[in-house]
Amino acid sequence: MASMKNYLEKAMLRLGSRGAMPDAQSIDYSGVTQFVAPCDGYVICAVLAGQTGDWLTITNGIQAVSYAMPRQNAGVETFLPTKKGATVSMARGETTTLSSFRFMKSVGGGLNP
Amino acid sequence: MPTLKAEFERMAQVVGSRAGMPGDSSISLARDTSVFYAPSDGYLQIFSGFDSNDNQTMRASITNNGMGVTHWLPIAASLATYLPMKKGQEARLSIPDASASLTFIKTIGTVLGGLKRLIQNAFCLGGRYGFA
Repeated sequence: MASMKNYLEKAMLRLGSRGAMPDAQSIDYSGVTQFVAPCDGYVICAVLAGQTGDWLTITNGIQAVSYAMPRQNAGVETFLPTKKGATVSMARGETTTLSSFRFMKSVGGGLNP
Repeated sequence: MPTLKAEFERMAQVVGSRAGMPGDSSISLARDTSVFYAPSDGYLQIFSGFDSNDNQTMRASITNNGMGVTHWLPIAASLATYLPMKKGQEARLSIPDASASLTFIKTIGTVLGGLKRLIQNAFCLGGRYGFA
């Protein structure tokens, strides 16, 4: 017979999994290259290469994603899960065009327990 | 007034969201690792510096479900990416360059003690509402 702990464990996993998914609300940070994550969520960034070898790096102090683009007009869009309070930095090649740099909260990330 | 069920759902989503984010605890792996078993829930962070040999491919994937990341670069360039893994899953790696570095980053929930802590927190909330 399932115990109270089993039910609670299942409920926590299911709801927690939903809580970690990206939500629809986002904040635009395209005017800066660094910000502090206001809640749990995902950093999203997209650039377009101006020349061969243009690159993009975003970090949250723990993890990083970095890409180089093989030719002009090649595009990259990527994301990084980031906890509340982490400092997010973005750097890119000089000739890249920034299409998007924003922070999207996770479903549970912007709530208070 | 929110019901106990609504409060519990809200709390579980907050805790779950936080628990799934990358934490401050990490493990460095040997750069020539080809098979890796996740010691906890977390993210396998992969950095690969593609050298002057162009047309190289980096691939990392989870064996039992096929989920993975693949990158092909026709030029010499660096690449950083990651693969989320749950505890016990096996990942197979094919990283062509010797300058690669591999790190496994534990999730916050794992560092806190995972479900045990979450359930303890849940019971604390339940206690406040006369649930436990």
